[in-house]
Amino acid sequence: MANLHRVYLGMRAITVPVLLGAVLLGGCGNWSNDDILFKLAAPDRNTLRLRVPGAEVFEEQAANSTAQGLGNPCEGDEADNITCGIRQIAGFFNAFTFGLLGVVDNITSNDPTKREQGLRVWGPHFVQDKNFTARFEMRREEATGGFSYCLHVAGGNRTGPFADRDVRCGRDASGFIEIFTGDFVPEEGAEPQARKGVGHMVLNLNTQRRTGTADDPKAQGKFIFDYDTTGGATVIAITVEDFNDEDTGLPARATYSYRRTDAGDGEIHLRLLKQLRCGEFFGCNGSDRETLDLGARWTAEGASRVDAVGSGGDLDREYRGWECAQSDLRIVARHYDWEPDKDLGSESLCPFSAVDVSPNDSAP
Amino acid sequence: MGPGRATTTSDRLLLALFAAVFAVALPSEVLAEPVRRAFLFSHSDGGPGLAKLRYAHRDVMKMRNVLTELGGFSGENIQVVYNQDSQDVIQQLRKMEERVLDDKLAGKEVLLLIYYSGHAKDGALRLGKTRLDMNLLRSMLEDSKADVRVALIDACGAGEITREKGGVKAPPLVVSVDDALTARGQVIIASSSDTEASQESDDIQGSFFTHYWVSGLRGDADRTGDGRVTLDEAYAYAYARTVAATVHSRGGVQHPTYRYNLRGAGDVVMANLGASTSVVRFPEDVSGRFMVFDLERQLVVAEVEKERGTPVRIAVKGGHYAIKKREPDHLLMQKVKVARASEHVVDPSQMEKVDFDDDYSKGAVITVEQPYVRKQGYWGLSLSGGMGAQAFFNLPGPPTNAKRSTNPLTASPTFPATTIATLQTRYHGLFNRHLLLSGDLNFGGREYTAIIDGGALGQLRYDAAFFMAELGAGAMWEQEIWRLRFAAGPRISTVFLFRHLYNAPVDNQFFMNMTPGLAGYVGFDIFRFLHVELGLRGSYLVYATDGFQNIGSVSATLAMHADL
Repeated sequence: MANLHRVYLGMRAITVPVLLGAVLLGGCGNWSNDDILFKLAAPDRNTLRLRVPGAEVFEEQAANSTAQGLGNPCEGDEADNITCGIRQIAGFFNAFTFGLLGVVDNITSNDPTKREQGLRVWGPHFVQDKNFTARFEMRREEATGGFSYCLHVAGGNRTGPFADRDVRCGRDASGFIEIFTGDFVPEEGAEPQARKGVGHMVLNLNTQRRTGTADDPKAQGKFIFDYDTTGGATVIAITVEDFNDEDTGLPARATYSYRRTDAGDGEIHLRLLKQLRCGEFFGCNGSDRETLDLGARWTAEGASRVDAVGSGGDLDREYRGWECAQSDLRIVARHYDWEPDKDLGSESLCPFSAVDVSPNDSAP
Repeated sequence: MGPGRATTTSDRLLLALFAAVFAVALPSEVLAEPVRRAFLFSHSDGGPGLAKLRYAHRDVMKMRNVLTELGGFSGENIQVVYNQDSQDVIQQLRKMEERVLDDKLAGKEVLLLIYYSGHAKDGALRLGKTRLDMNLLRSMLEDSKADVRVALIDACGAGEITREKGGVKAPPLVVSVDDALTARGQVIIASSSDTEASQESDDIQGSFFTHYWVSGLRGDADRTGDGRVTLDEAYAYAYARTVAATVHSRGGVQHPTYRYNLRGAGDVVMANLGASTSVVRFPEDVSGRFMVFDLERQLVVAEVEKERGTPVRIAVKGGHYAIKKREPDHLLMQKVKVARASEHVVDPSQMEKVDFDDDYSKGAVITVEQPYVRKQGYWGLSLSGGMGAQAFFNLPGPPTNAKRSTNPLTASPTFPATTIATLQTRYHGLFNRHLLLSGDLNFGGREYTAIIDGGALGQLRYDAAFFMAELGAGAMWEQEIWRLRFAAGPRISTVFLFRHLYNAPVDNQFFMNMTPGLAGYVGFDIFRFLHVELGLRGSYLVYATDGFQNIGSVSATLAMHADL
């Protein structure tokens, strides 16, 4: 008994100095200038938002979840017009990026769980509403000032000590699979809250689907984002590949380019290579994929023009159409090759002449 | 009554014989300057049945002042004890004797002076409700290793301590004077005989004996005019003046007594008037009774019974004084500033006529006196607001992060400087009268611009709000010189730092750590219970979140410290 007491006293005598020394040496807290730099370089959903006039309703709807965001805002009289289609596509991508980057925002709103020189790791954190565990890692290259990052996910709750053992960017382990990678080089001298710079992101929904963590079990495709927020404008190029057309099951590919100046005017170009639905509007009858080019420009006030060109594939000819809308989004002029009887107003009411529908070469 | 009236012929012969014998035995060689130590204590309360004394503490102050200004006693060698019981006094006396022993072991000559002002009765000093037997005090004096021991007991019935083996009511013969301490032995001087009362006076704001003793040391007792006041001269002067002043008092005449047991050739020099370069001079043609009143310390410094034909020089400390001469129906008064290294010549023709009621040298109304007292073992609380500042800086050391500055002692890029308020509490005299324990709570904050080194991004700037709190504890060694206090010692604290960043991707951040360091202060006593102090603290902390950083923090505060 006496020996036990001596052991107890000995342990107590050691514990106090050790604890005191630990606190004395390291301190505690989240005071970190570097955390701010990492957070500035992390992908931000607001930076990548496609700010197309009239898409706000859709964006608000999409801000909560991707599933909600996929609802169709183009109903009633607007159901078939091209302008609303552009808004729908912009809304889709906004919802998509909101859903993805919302997870990153959610994780990085906590303090990093690991801080090392040039390294921050957040998580693994359990995302309860999506029932998966996510781990986000960022590294900084001191020489270039650039950052790289990756997001790993695992189904269910996989938090706890050493739950992400051996996991790192480029390496899957402990049940965590990398679904999202990217890098970002900040612009020197930018305003601190603007997150200006050049970035590249890749999201592989095909991989995510295999982990069982995707919102939509049928989600597919590899989404490649290249963006540049320097030079007074936001330029985003999105390529979607490795997916099959929902209707035909054929491989499809889409490219999008978006450019919006800080003043508010902008343009978007979409090229969709897929099997268009044939019917009364388009004279097509085969199974070849057609090319649908869409181009839209808008002023800072919101007045816009949209041009669409369908070509290739099984189309018997090239089809063109255009719409012009005032800043209140009301369409004041239009023409469709496939529905001449729906002509409205005069092209002189448009804020721009015909929009070049080919993808923007200035995209990053 | 003249000073020699009560002296017997046999006393004079005995002392002369002593002087002659030991002049041969101990030649007055030039010896090293002796260490002079003093233990001054007082108690205004003599217990049940005895009236509280009004000026006991003030007597100690006067004695202390004259010893430091003219007596060759350094402030640190004088221990002052107010209103403590007998056990505490005995304990302090024993510590004093330990210091004397240290001096002797170091081969130094030592003069020890013990002074008491207060009540005494039935052979004991009355220290509040406790008693200190005079025989015990005397035996402690006799056992002391000091070469010369001098005891001055200013108390009613104090003659009890000189009575055994025959205390004498008159001054001894003058023996030769020597700068070195060639005398050996002890002298006990009591302010009254064993049956007499020792009296205080509102007019002189003190006891008669101490008043005249101090006045004598300041120069009025220098009968030989050699610029030095010996123990013999001081006693003779104090004896004569005390007897003269009390002969018509209600308390009855008061006869100081002495017990000499000195061997050696020289008398003991108690005041060297040359030690003070500031002098109030009464020229040859001036006569009358003058008082010199220290306006700053509100003390009667000296009383001069000036006779025409002989100049008198009173050594004082540089400062503001009132010179007062009492005439039958009015006062003559003059305010003077005696600068350092200067002489003020008293000229009654320049003095203004003042009614008795307008005597501006009376100072503040004195009840039962609570003079400037620095107690042992007390809690003190100090408060300061907006009077301090704290800054952080990088300490020299190898940075682990390439972007960190290698330049030492630059302002920290991590933590901002801020104004702070401080709350402090202290406990004095725990193990040693110089040792104090302190605890402090500091807090502050401000709006500032956080500048963050963004590497390739350049400098990022964010508006931010900063708050800090710090809880510290430490021990300090405190040294007191006059009304100044100096203290320094180790300290450890826990510091909590918080900031809110506006428009930043991270909003709230905090850091907490233990910080060892040093603390100290310089204080000035405004009143007995209140002093103002400038505090300085330096701490070291480790910050390891963004790479390892050695960080130092320095704070300075101006605080008022009140003793509870």
